[in-house]
Amino acid sequence: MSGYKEEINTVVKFLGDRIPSNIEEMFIRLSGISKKDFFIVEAHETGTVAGVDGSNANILDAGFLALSAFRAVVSLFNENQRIKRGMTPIKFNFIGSGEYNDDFPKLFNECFGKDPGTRLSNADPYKVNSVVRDTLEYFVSLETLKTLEKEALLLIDGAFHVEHKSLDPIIEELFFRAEEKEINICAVTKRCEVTWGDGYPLIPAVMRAAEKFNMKAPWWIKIDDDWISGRRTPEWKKGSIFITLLHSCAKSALKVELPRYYGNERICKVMQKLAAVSCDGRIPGYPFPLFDAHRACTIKREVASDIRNRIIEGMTKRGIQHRDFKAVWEDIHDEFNHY
Amino acid sequence: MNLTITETIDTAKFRLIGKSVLTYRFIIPHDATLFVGDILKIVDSKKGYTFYAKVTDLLHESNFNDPNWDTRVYSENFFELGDDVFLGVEAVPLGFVDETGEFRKPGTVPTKFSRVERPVKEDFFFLSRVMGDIEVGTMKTGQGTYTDVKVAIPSEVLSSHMGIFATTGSGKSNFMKVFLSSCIPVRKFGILLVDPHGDYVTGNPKDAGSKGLVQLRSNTEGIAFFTTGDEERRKRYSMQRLYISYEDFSIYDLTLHYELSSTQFDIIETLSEFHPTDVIKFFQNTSFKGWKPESYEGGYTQIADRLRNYQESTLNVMQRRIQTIVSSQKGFFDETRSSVKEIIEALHENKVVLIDMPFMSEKSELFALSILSRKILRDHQERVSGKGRKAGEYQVMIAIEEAQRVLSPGSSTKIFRECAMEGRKFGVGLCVITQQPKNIDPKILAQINTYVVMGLSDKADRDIVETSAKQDLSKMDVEIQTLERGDAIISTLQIPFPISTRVHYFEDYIDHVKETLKSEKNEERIETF
Repeated sequence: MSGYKEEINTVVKFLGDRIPSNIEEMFIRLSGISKKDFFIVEAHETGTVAGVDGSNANILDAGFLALSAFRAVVSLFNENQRIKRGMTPIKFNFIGSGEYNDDFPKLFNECFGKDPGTRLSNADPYKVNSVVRDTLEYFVSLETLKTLEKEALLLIDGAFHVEHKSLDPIIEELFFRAEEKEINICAVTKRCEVTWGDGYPLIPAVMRAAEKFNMKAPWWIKIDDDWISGRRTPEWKKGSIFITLLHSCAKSALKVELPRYYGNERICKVMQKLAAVSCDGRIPGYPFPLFDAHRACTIKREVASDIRNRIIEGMTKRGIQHRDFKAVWEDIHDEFNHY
Repeated sequence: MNLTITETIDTAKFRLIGKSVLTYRFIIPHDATLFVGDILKIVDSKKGYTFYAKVTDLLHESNFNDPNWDTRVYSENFFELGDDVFLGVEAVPLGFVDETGEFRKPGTVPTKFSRVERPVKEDFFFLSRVMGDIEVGTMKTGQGTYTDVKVAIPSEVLSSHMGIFATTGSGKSNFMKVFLSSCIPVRKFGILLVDPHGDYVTGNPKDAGSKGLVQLRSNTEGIAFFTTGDEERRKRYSMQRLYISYEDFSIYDLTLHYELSSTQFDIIETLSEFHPTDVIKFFQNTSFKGWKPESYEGGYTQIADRLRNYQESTLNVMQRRIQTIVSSQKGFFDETRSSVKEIIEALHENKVVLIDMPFMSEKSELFALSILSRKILRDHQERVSGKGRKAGEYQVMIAIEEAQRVLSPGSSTKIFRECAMEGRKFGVGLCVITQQPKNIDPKILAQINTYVVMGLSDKADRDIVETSAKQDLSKMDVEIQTLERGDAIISTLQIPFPISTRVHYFEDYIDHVKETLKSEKNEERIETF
């Protein structure tokens, strides 16, 4: 068995191979990009910008049954001033021992007034959580579109790439409703998992290429689908990918997605607004309405704890002894953590 | 499912969130304007009480997890910064008004999330009931003042001594002039003040706009001036000439001027049983060359006899010192004439008595003040003990400028120390004025019940004042440090909490005093008529 030092060295080598020192040259060679593929953005007045984000938190986990809480939030800004925040109630989802998730169809129906059509497998809890969270985000996005005026920008946390078939028509509907009202929509990813070539990360490659071409932020570049490796469920991918550095002090560029049918002029308009709402001194380079929505929707530890307490209270009223509750739900790690 | 629109109006700010009976805490928007010293009211609608508190500190705070978030901002733009960035306010409770309108000391806490508001003048109505009668200014809150809320020191508490603690340039002369002029219409006690520079009598000679109390001379009989100045000055300002006679002198007054050896002190003890005039004359007219008391032929044989065992050299030193005292005080130290009786009478008529000593030395000032103080205290002691009169028949306050000269620990001048420790019993109070309270004997500070604190930059000075005052001033340290010229914190027994005061500007206030005196005169005339 290899020692600790060797293990670390292996990890370092693996990660180092992902970001070779000439990554930008490799990317330029593969993509054939030049300086003219980068577009400079001039930040303009923002008008109305809405940011939608969702969150989930693990409430109880007994191994055979897990309960998670979800909610989504929209934060609506006009010229850097928040006009309002809208929030879904906290929704719960059990991931049980059954093959399919029983709560998802109920939630889907509650959100969109119809059945999902496709069942959601419980096999991958991470995916279940992701789909449920997206469901709430799309619901909030559709609701928000009803209130937005022409020319507004709707920002959604994540990607226009669903992870479950049932959400594909929902994205279609979202695009349709936005087009109907001449509202721009854009998906912004907090963490970009897109790779190119033999699995090299996209963001550092593009950033280093921009540096090589002496690009001054804010800028953006469109990413051709052909450059991307390891694509999952391409049939559910609805957006074009862009990498953009929205502020000169931004720590990193962002991956954003826009509907595929947006022309260059419209893309520029969206990028200008994105840059204009990404100048907050705390998180330069990230759209503030999304940050605001994120902070409002995050189910923090104290909220999760409150939920747990209310559940225990309700169960006690139903005659279930706390001892039994603990026997099922309490993780021995909680005890370990006392020491 | 519907979206719940969450309220984005800020309801957390200006609501009490902590901490205890002795410290309040609340938050305000990060860009709100509030000052240390601001008085705020906390409306507890559940209990029906209105609490009052004074801001003692303001701190930048936030809800962010990273306490150092503000050290790494990247631009000056911020969206909705006020959501999570705010000012934390620390305030010291002053007390509360209960449902009957009675002001009480802070003995409980306001209900959580009680509203914090800026009070209006009507909120301080309760104060008018506890304020005294000697007006000195208006109530200050932070940078502003409530011009309708007058601050007045109760005359009844002044026999328990008053301390005025202020560095140079903080406005203590102005305060004293305002205080003295406000005492004139009240006339509840007499005040004696020796003015070595003429600031109080005629105004600061270096400032053409400065006025003195002499301006009130024609408006009232409640003020008396005695001067060592020349005839022209006496006539110009209608002052009486100051005389202190040899008889008023005590041989112990030598200790004010000189460090004495034990032998010299023995001589003083020995001579204390003789009339001071005889002692002075004995030394003036005797040659100690080859000192032989048995061959003394002057008129003071008893004194000569008592000094027979002392060396010629020691007696020469004593003689030189007595002669120096007599000669350096020659402007007012007289063999027979004395103003002391008139001064004490004026004080007993509750007048403000100013002793004008222009161009006199510091030693002359202390010489006059110590003699007058002794005569006043002895007079009061005799009245109480000798003639069966009750204590407090007459109230006199003696002001001592640069009091650290005579009230320092270990080397306090006996008479002033006596006034401080025992004067209250006999209706004699001290007004201790100093810019170095740390150099005043703490036992004397402990006797003072009324503190007037103006700017004190030295921490040791502030510490001693804050810990000696009868009301807790320790939480007002920041305010004391940031007091502007002419501002004071007044802590006295009858007023329930230390009051920040903007002291009237004497040059403006004097007209108000004249008006008051005029209307009082008119009322007297009507009554007489």
